[in-house]
Amino acid sequence: MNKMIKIPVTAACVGAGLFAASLLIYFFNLDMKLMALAEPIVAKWYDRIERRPMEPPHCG
Amino acid sequence: MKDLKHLNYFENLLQDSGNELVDKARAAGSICIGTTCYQIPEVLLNLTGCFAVRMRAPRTGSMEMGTYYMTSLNCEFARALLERCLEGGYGFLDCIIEPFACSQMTSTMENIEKLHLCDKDKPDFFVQHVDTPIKADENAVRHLTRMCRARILEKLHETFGTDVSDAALRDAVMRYNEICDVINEIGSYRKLDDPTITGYEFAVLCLATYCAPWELVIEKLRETARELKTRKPDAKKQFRIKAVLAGSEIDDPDFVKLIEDAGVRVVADRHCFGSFPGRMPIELNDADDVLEQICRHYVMQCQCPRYMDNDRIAERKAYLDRLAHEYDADGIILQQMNFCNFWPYERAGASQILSQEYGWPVLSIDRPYAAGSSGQIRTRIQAFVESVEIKRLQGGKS
Amino acid sequence: MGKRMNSEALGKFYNGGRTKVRREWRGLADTWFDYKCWVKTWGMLFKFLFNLQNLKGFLRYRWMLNYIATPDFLDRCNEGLRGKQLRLSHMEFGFIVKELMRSLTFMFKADQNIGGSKALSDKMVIMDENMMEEIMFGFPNLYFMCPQVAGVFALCAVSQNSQIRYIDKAEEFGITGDVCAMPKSELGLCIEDDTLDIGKCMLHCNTTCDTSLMGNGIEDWRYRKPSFAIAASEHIEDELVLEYAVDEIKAAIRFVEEQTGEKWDWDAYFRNMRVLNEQTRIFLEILEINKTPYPQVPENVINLYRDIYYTRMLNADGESYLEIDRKIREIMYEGYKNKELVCTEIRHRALIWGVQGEFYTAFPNWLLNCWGIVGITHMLSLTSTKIYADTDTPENREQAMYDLADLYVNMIMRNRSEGGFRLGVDDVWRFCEEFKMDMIVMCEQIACKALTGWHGIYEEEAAKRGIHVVWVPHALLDPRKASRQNMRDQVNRYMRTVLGEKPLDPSLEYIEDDNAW
Repeated sequence: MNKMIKIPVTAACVGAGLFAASLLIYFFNLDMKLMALAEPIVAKWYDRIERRPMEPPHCG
Repeated sequence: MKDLKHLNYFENLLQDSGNELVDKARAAGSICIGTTCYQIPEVLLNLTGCFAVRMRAPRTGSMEMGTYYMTSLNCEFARALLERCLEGGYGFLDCIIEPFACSQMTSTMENIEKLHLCDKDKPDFFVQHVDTPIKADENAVRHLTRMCRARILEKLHETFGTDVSDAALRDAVMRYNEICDVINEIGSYRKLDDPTITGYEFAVLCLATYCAPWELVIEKLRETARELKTRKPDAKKQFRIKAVLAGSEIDDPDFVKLIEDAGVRVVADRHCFGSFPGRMPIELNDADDVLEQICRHYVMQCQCPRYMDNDRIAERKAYLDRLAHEYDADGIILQQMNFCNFWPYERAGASQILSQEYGWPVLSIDRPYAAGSSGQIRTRIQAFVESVEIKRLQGGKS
Repeated sequence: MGKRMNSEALGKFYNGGRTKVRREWRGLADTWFDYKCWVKTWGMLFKFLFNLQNLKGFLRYRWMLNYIATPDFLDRCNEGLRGKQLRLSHMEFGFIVKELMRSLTFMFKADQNIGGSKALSDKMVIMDENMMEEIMFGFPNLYFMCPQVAGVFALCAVSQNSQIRYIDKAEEFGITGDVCAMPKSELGLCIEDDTLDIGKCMLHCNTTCDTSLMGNGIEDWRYRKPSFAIAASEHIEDELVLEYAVDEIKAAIRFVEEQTGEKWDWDAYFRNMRVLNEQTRIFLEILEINKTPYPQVPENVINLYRDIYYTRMLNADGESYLEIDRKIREIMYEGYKNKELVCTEIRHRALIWGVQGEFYTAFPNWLLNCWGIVGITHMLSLTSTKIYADTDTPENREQAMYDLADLYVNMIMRNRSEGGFRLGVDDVWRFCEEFKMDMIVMCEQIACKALTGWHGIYEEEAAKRGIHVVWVPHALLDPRKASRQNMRDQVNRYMRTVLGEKPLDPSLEYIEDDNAW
């Protein structure tokens, strides 16, 4: 019986916590601040991709 | 080389947009039609009783007024023309017929129209915009024919009573072909190993046929052609390499002179005021509609980068290659006016294809409208000449 | 901070960083609403990335990284808004984001660069950016996609830096610096091998302008697909040009049929045209309300949305647009009935004219918040508002070709910028009178040679009529040539010096957002 109550209560607490966290993230714009930090790091990935040169079509 | 007898005459003629031959023709009752572009079939503007003048702005200094109306972000040629009109320099025109091809030039013409710059005391003056095609196919021929019939021929007939019959069209084509024949005869001397006519001289003569009535220049041109039969080149070659000059409009022969002073002999002129394709004769048959044949010629011969179908894009490069071979050129100079919308892309693509695919040395430059004394351009051309000579010494074209 | 517009100094959210210091407190109801939309946006983004093919696309294409700024983009578009305006804005921009994600997912599914489905790719026809896509109305089994929208057009609204690399690549290639940044970006994308490999064939067009036309030829070096160029005349004042466009449309249809094996379907065409007509009717209603003292759907809200549904560039199902349109209409009438103002104080009713300066800038929003200048309508919204033939009859089948031709020549932006003097200049004064606008915010794209050619005439004619013209130079996609602050400075100077006004929100006059998205 305790277990039956424990699970939803825990879920509710976790949910409430996540909700509160999301509110904080939303209001203080933490999501975009994180993206701003991640952007230059992830950008380096693209420098490693091999790019095929663009050749003109055969005309001659 | 011995000076050409009439060169000085033509040089002076080109110093003003409204020259003595224009005045003479107008005094005789001819209608003077201003135009700006190959894409308006020139023969339609030279029917009996009419003659076309390709608008230009020689000896342009400041363009302040033109810049006020069009800002410094627009093509200098377009601004210079507007400036000249604001100064009253095109008051002699009876009408303007321009293609809706280049948005900047169209803005110039719209400004001229709205500010009433050329229509003082001329109740019949009009500016006619003619939409022109952007591909070389049957749809395009049909479109140009439709537009020319309605917006040029009918307009000229309604306004000035111009004879626009098939016979009149054929007559105009015949006179056009006469001009082409003499210009091409003169131009053929550029194919010689040591050409007996310079690019500058040719540019002056060719430009004169765009800026004055044909019947008033043709005799002098024929005389010049006769002169060239016996003209001998200088003992020592006055150039280091030969080149095809291609690109956007060049209405100032001093620019060609600048190029030639830097060691290049310009042997073929594939630009808006040049002879390729502007002085290619029109062949007519007796079966098809005359106007449609004329329009077909202009559509199929057009080398304007505005034509966007892939076949035509490729063909323009092949055309330059053919010209360069035919005139035994050592390289190709691609030039464009600053702030042009079309030529940056054409130049970028063409310079790659011509060098990588066709193996030509290519110089690609942009320039201001009045570029006749540009030290920067002279330096670029000198560097190009040296690079071609080095490649020649190394035994290859590229 | 509070539920009233201008209750918070919005400028203080900018501290020179990549993003704002925090989001606004808009009062309980509006903040809760905005929060829910934010959760939904992140939900969409996560769902997008949780798809393996999308993840491959994200890792393959550099421009995809800019989409991480999507919530920031929405914040910019919704800045300062409250009540119905906030809801309208979220509805439209949220729809754009949703459809963009859907469109991208679909394109990545077919993208040969990342092992996509060839069969699906062969059902796609690639089109140019800004090109009208109504030709797809008659091909219900094909998908008309525009990779340039994802890589350039939509992205440049999200982030000011998204195109810089591609612009530079195009200039290295040889394109001069004075040319418009949009076709340069598209070309740069191709040069950099950063464009999707999808589609059986391509339809090019001379849209938006001369330079876009020119870019196609070189972009084909990358695409290497059978292509057909639809030549649609720009000078649409002349009715004769329509015949040319009709011939071209017919030829384009034949081309698509030959390449794909699909046949033109009249039922589908007229069905889709009915949807477009319905959208047009709703848009006309919006314009009618905007003519009144209580406009409800100003330009910060309608412009990009109109662009997308008019051109059909996201290949969305027409009914989904209509759903949004009907909701907009409902909210609009409610607001109009209650005589609600779209901002604290409508000081000026403005026509926003010129090549749009409001991609990453969210410029009309700023005009509203800072100076109470309401963009009543925009040059790009003023495209064709004709009702086209939408029932299947033999006469209408022939008329349909003319209708399509009409749509193609009336392409967004260029119908005014290249269409001729009457459309580009004379109509300005007509609209000012019709919509009772006392101001023109002239977005002068410094590389657009079309509209700059009329600069002097605009000045003179506006002076004759007593209409204020505020010139705002911008560089479309290249913030290095004209920054957001440069644009704001022009307005600030005019408002203070010429009109002697003080801003509604002084903190917005100068914002440190050079480094922002």
